[in-house]
Amino acid sequence: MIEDSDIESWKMLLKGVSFFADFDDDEITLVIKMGEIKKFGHHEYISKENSIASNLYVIIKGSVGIIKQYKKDRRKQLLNTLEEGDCIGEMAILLDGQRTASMLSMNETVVYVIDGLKIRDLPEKTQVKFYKNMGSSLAKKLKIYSSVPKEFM
Amino acid sequence: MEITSGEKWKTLLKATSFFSPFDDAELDEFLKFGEGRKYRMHEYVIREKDPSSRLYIILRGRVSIVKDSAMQNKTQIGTLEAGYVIGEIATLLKEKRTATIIASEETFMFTLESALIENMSQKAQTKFYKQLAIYLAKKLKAISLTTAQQTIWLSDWYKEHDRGF
Repeated sequence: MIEDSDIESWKMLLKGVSFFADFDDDEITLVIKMGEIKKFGHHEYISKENSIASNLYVIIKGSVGIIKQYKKDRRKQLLNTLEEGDCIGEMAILLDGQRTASMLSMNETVVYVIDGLKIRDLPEKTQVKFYKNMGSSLAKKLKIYSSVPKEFM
Repeated sequence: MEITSGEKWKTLLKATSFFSPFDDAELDEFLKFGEGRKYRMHEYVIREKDPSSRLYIILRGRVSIVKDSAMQNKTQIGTLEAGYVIGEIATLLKEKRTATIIASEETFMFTLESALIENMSQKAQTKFYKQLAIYLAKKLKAISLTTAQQTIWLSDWYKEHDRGF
């Protein structure tokens, strides 16, 4: 739960992040009230692979490593590093609710967290922005693969 | 009874999974701000590097994805069928087309200028962007599931083609 006195300072912070760039003042206030802001130190797990979770994370500060562990040899691989403005967890929200990878803070990190189910309770015009920006985040992630020949997909 | 052109397109939209969450009134909105288009075999739908913010959804038929290679040759890198969305990445990220799309057979598409989406009702917009996000999430999941194998294939491919990885 976020204290009212903190809202103004969080508002400034969120507004500076690309994911929330098209949200107006009232929307930012609502978004802050409906979610949480969490801080992580260096190399802390934000969420683990295969955990059932419906949270959407937006990186406000710092960077987050996306890590996959292979069943065969338990080897861990860093798939991607996401930075300020990127969102995480949108796949689990949009599809079956299972984390397909773990999230590890790579340095001092601040994330905004909202339960994906709560997005439905937001006004339609704010929902549009959430889904549109989640789509943009997915498009960016997909682009990494777009230079690869289709037969390897 | 003669079916009007609008109704024909609506029937095609209804049969496509992308449009399944939309009700009749919302499908009418789509056909008001966008349109159905029919392409002949070998007709160009999109040209690589075109600056366009138009979105396409295949309703019936098949298209080829063609990329210009460094040697000035065109290489077919895949085909897409009914249910596939085209141009969603360029639209969301406001970028140029990354490939050329050519109809492989007679193809029916629904196409929409992305700037016009904001004229639609809030409810239809929400559903639309949610459907688009779900579509992208499925695509990304399909890729990430094969990441381990892909990494091996990829490094081989890049070695073979003498490119950095």
